[in-house]
Amino acid sequence: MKKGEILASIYSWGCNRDKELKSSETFRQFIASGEEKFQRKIKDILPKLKPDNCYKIIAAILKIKDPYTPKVIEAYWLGHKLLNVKNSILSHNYTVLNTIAKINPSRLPIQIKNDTENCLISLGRVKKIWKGKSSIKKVAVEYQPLEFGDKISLGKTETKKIDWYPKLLPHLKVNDWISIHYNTARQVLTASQRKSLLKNLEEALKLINTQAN
Amino acid sequence: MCLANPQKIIKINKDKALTDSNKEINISLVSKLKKGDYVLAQNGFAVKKISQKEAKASLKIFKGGKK
Repeated sequence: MKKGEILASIYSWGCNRDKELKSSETFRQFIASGEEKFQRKIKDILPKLKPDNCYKIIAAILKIKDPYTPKVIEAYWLGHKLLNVKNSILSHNYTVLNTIAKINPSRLPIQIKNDTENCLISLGRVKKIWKGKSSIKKVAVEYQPLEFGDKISLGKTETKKIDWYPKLLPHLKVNDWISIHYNTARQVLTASQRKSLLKNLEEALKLINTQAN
Repeated sequence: MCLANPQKIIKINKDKALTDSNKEINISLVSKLKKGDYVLAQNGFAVKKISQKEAKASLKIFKGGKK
């Protein structure tokens, strides 16, 4: 399995579409165990998930032949400096926010706000790690939740507990910057990835806030 | 979007609509919806009106079919 396919699996896991395809458990087992036996199934699932089209378009923009190259996958999930504001519409975070863009944020029911928050790829900093025997452990992260006022924006920094799969991120440590999807730590980010994700979030928010009624 | 599913509205009663997947959804967040429209539904709410073309493309992906 190529690095890009592994990365795509790490981020895709947990989405509703993944659940509809009944692939969630395959992704979870792969992430929790890292075992190769799940790889063939995952390779069949990835092209059926919605981001596949975006990977292809981003690859064309970045002039990369293979859409499952890590740089392309990262561009979709975390943003990329070569994808300018206009092309941010190809990113996951824009797709998530665009779904609710026409609704005044103050009218959104709490469950839709929570869904949006969870589905977004957000940025967090590890502040505490609980080590136990379970294959799923917990970490406390500082992050900026969405604030739903007249516009949707990044709010004040808060702390929350999220899941951490040590097989996925074996070297996670306090003060690491990570990406979060569905309250699960997905990737330890470099300074450059962190900058891209923050920029991507800000651009996606800017774009959708101009569409609100 | 990972959470929203395309649905076709087959019946409307005030703020509630019945969809082709036999689900009742709240349509108060999206204005001017009528029978036959397609929406993205999330957590029991219609959140966005979409075209038939968009809905069918999404449904193909949902069913694991060819895009």
